[in-house]
Amino acid sequence: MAALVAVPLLASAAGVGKGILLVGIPYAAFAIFLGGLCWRVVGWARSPVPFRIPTTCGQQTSLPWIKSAPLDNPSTGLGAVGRMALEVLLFRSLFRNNRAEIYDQRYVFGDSKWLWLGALAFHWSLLVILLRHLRLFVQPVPAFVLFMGKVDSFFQIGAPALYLSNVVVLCALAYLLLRRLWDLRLRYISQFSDYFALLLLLGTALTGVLMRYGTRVDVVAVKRLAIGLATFQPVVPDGVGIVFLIHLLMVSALAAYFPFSKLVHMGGVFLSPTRNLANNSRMKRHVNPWNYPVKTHTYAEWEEEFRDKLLMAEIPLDEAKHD
Amino acid sequence: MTDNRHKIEQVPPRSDWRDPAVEFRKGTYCHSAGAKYVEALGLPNPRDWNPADADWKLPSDWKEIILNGMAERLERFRSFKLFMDVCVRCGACADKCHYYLGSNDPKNMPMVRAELIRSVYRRYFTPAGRVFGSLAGGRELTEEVIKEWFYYFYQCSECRRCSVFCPFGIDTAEITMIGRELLNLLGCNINWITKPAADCFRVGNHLGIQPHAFKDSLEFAADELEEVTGIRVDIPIGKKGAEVLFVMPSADFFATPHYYTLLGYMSLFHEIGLDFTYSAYASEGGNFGLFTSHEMMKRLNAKIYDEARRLGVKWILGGECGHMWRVLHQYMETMNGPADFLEAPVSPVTGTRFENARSTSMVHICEFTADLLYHDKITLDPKRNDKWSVTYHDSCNPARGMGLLEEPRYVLKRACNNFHEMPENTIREQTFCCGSGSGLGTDENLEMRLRGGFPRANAVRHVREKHGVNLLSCICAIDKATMPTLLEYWVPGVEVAGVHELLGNALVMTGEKERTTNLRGEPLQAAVPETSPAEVVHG
Amino acid sequence: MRTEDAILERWFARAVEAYPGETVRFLTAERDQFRNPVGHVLRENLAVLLRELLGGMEPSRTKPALEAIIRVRAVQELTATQAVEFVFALRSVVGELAPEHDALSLGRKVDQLALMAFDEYVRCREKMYEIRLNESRRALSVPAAMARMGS
Ligand code: HEM
Ligand code: SF4
Ligand code: SF4
Repeated sequence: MAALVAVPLLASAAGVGKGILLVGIPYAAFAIFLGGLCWRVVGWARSPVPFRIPTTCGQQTSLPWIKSAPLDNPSTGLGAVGRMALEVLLFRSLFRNNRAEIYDQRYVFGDSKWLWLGALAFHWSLLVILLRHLRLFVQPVPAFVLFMGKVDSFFQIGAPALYLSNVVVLCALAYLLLRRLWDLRLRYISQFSDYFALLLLLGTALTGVLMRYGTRVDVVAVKRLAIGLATFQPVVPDGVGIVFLIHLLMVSALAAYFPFSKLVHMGGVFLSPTRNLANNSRMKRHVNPWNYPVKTHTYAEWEEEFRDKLLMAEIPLDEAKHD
Repeated sequence: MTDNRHKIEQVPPRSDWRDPAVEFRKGTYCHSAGAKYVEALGLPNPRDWNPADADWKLPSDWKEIILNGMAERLERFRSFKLFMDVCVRCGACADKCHYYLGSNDPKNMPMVRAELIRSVYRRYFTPAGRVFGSLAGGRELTEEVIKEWFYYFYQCSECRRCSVFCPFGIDTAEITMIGRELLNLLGCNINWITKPAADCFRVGNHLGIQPHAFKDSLEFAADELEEVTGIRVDIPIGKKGAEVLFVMPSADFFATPHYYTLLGYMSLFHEIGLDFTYSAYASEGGNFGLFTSHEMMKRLNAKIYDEARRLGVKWILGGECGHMWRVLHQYMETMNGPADFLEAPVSPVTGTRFENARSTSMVHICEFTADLLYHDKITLDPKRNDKWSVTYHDSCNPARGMGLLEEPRYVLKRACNNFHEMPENTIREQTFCCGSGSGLGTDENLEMRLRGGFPRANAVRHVREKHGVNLLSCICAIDKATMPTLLEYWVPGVEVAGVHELLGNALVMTGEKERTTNLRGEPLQAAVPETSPAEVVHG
Repeated sequence: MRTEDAILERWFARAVEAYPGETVRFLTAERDQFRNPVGHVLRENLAVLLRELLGGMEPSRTKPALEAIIRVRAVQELTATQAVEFVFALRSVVGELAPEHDALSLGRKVDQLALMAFDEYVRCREKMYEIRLNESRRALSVPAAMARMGS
């Protein structure tokens, strides 16, 4: 489909069209991505956190001889940082679904555990792949990127060597998509945007893989384009090929779509008040910036109202009123 | 299907959650709040209405009220705003809600419950939703949607279990709280919340028990305790200059089995000679404002600090209650503090300074008692609880809004000889709600409560069958009110008691007479003899 | 797979048809007894009932198993018919998977079980009234305690 559109486009467009496709759209998308993400994060940050409401998932810090759970129920800022790190790096909460289960002498690894594994596999391989892209944008290629590539292609299958992360990302995405279609409960709650995000990612990954292992791409040309973009001295190289163009357009779409969809969870996870606050509510007063006075039933009013009853029951009245 | 002879009716799958139609079936919803209670609290739109009616008598500008209310809350609560944006619909929370597990109604999956309001948020507050409408997951706000909110937001017990499993910590309880706040703007509240709140505001406690009757109840409890122990305990009320103000949920002095817990507190305070006072003004620790709105929560909670200041106590001790402690722990000082007129709590018996409560100056009775036990300041005779085989139900709020997990267990294990935990994925932070929390424990809602309570009861049944458990202990007034009902239906033969009831049974008091009954007035059944009955006869 | 297991699977599938479609897979697939209490109770007790129906219909085993299932269904969003319908489904399931079975005797037992199920359903609904009453008694029990003192 995309190819049908792109081919005539590419054919007809000489310099200008190609410039727009290879330079204009990526820049625009990236600008929308950055601007949009900032707008979202600033939007969240502008709403205060009036109350300290961590969800406590372990023993509180109370008496010194009771062992507390410093990461699942942190009482210090440092602990909260640790908790966040576990959430972001290992999806700690999602992991809670997991439990060794044995039925009829068989070990069962049910759907909920696969979610954690699938999600983790997807996100980590995505990160690896994103970092690997640095090798196109930075010259000389940073050492850690090279090292990562070595580890990633450890098994040396095929030539060019197969990156594990590529296999993993495709499998994980396929799994995430299939479970949405397969599990009726998930299908019930899934919306257009859920499928759209997954398909976009899957498309991007597929075209990327295709370029590496299938229709080879002119890496030198791509690298010239990438470095040009990164250094704000864009050049429009020849012969980058149609698959690359689709890949680039999909990445651009993903970037532009990111801030306006559920993908912003990347930013949101760090701000979640049930996770990033220490459970020290009784140790340190938390201030609500919009705390306002409210109508209460004061003691004086109450005493006035129940004076007879209080006297009858010989419950001491307030001294000020007594005399 | 080859044979459909016996198919009489088939429930069609609800293909689209966007369809807001709900049926108010008897037994599954709560009565609307009486106009006079709504009025007494100065809440909007007091009127007589019924959720099953077609016309809810909403104010004519209801839509504007809701949208403005949402806008205001989006600016005030980062939690609300963020939770509206970041759900990825991964489904991790789906099967964590006890109402879903018990009812199998897909709209009880937490993310769908949240989606009911989120879809409106998208439609009116996000660029994508404004432009693309339902394609971007948006939904029009109609009167039907309001009814649907009412149905499902009063079908969430704000237990936070879903939040434990969500990778972003999305707390559907928080969304429900805001949802109910919005419904309250239209006067769509329920009687079982609003009436106690109104009574608590005016008189001091949920049942509207006036000061003299409050005193009677406590004296009566002292009489009962004297019968059991032979010891007369003091009932200080409103005593200025006492060291400690003691606040408990009011059910402790008017309902059973709460009442036996009160006897437990009384024995303990007497035995250690605590210089404390009750208060008739702050005669309620519970706070149904939590189930109404943040403002109402603050209005009802103010009494506790006001009373502590007036009486000049040093710190406050709080009894066994779940939602009360959610408020005390996570909201009180922010709302009505700073508590600079109080001191950091120090146990007068052990000298322990409760560092974890140094700012709020309020200590949970289980923390207090665990400390006493750890320092061996009281003597227990756990044999007196031998007729019980005990398990412990973590109440949602102390578990997930505080992390009070070990203290009650420590007390229980010292006070009872037979203690058995329920399975690990049903206790501590993963505990299942009783299904009646957050003001839903009313009798007209019984069917829904039984559904919601089934996952909990199912775990109780497991330990009953496996270990012969016959007593469920807990530290929550709502549990004590509703669990007996729940268990009577699902697991007959299991009774419910507060942790401090068991402590009170076991507590050896100086100068007590020989105990022949427990605090319930039931005979202390001898332990199952360790030697075989035959040997006993010969011995 | 033994025929009995196949019958049980099919019977279970028929019994969960009463629930909203989205939930059926969860009820069927999630085997953790605490994570899926409704499915667990159903599966466990259908197995007992099947054994009894194909065997001797021993009341001391049949009754508790039937009760456990009905107790759940009696409080759910099901009509009385939906709640007990699963009993009848067994007849056709056995007819399909094990036609060699004596349909007449099985049919009789199924009918008997169905009648018991109706009874149990009614008992559960009555129980709900009873526990409601007991709850309201407990809710205000200081006077009750007073009465005890007086005696
Ligand atoms: C700090 C960074 C991030 C964290 C902590 C994070 C965390 C998570 C978690 C916990 C889930 C739920 C599990 C699941 O459904 O797979 C999730 C889902 C998802 N994430 Fe991320 N994420 C991050 C960044 C990203 C980025 C950069 C993207 C892609 C552009 C992304 C795309 C997705 C998608 C598409 C899903 C939904 C999968 C589905 O539909 O089932 N995430 N993320
Ligand atoms: S677990 Fe959290 S992110 Fe996943 S569906 Fe539930 S609320 Fe949404
Ligand atoms: S807070 Fe509790 S009752 Fe409410 S949706 Fe979450 S799990 Fe269900």
